[in-house]
Amino acid sequence: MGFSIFRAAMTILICCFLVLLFLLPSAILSRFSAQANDLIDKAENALLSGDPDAAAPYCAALFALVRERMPVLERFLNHASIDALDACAAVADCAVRANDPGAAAEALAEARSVLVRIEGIELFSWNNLL
Amino acid sequence: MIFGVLAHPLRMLTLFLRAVFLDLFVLLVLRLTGKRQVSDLQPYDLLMTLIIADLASTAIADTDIPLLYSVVPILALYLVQQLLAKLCLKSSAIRRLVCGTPQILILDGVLQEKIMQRTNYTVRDLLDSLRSKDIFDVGEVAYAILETNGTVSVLEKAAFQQPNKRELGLEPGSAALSHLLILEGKIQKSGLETLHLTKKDVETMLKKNGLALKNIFFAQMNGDGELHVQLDRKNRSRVLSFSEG
Repeated sequence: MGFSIFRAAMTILICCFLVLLFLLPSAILSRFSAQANDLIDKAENALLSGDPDAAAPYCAALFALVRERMPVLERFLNHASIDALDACAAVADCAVRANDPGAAAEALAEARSVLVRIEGIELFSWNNLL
Repeated sequence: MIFGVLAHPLRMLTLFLRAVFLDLFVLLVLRLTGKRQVSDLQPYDLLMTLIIADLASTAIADTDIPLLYSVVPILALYLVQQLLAKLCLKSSAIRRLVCGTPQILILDGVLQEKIMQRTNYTVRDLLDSLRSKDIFDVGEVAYAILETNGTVSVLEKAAFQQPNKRELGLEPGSAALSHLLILEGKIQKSGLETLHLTKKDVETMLKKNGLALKNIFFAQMNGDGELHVQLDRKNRSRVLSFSEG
């Protein structure tokens, strides 16, 4: 009897934990990717307008954002994809500081594609399910 | 390579701790399923256990994968298993679908060829199962039933069944369980509670028979109050039996 109650309680707790896991990581990832995409957009626009100095703070902010969120993201994302995003952000930051807009734009485009890949894999979709 | 590994002792610690965590986690999940031994398992339960083991081992070995990648599928399998168990209890149709039904392999002494073909159970398999039940002649069997967990239950023909005490007109005696009372010189609290005895009762009983608690390796008392004692190796593992009174 005692074990049955314990099992029922554990099953309810497990259900709650799973629901939390379905909602929380996707909310964190959505928020992170929205912020990162916004910074990438601003940095790319600055580079397109031929002003690498204006892009520098956005690239630095992107790098800082990835580094800041890395520990949380690694709890529920494959570490390789986070490392790839971190590398792209680092290259973009370095390139823009070194006044190399071409390399910075390339790194930003790569960062965006990594983000799209992560969202494609991690966020729920019927395509992923199959 | 060895030096590379030694240069990262924290990674080794991570691996160690992940293994410990997942081991405890799998233990908890398997205990929650309520299955105690492999023979209890239906094929589906066995499959689930194997998948859980595989999922756990993936996250133990690869630290690039978050633990949640193993934890979530394991919990999902647990929930599905619990759901199916509940549905099986409620509906016999679902139980038949998930667990199958027992199949009669020998009916009234006749091997059921069609059922054996359907269940992929050969005559040799059947003879093996019968031998494991100390039946060496299929002619002694009235019914053999292939249970859903793969074991074979056998009912022998009346002429080959062992007579019981009632049939022989013997005194039935008690069928009470024996309880462990002393193990390696220590009185077992659970045994005392079940037999409604106190520590002092046991010590008095031992004293009366010239025994010291510390010399006893194992003692068990049955429902009739008979104490079965085995002394420790220092006392040549002597076996004694005496009554409570």
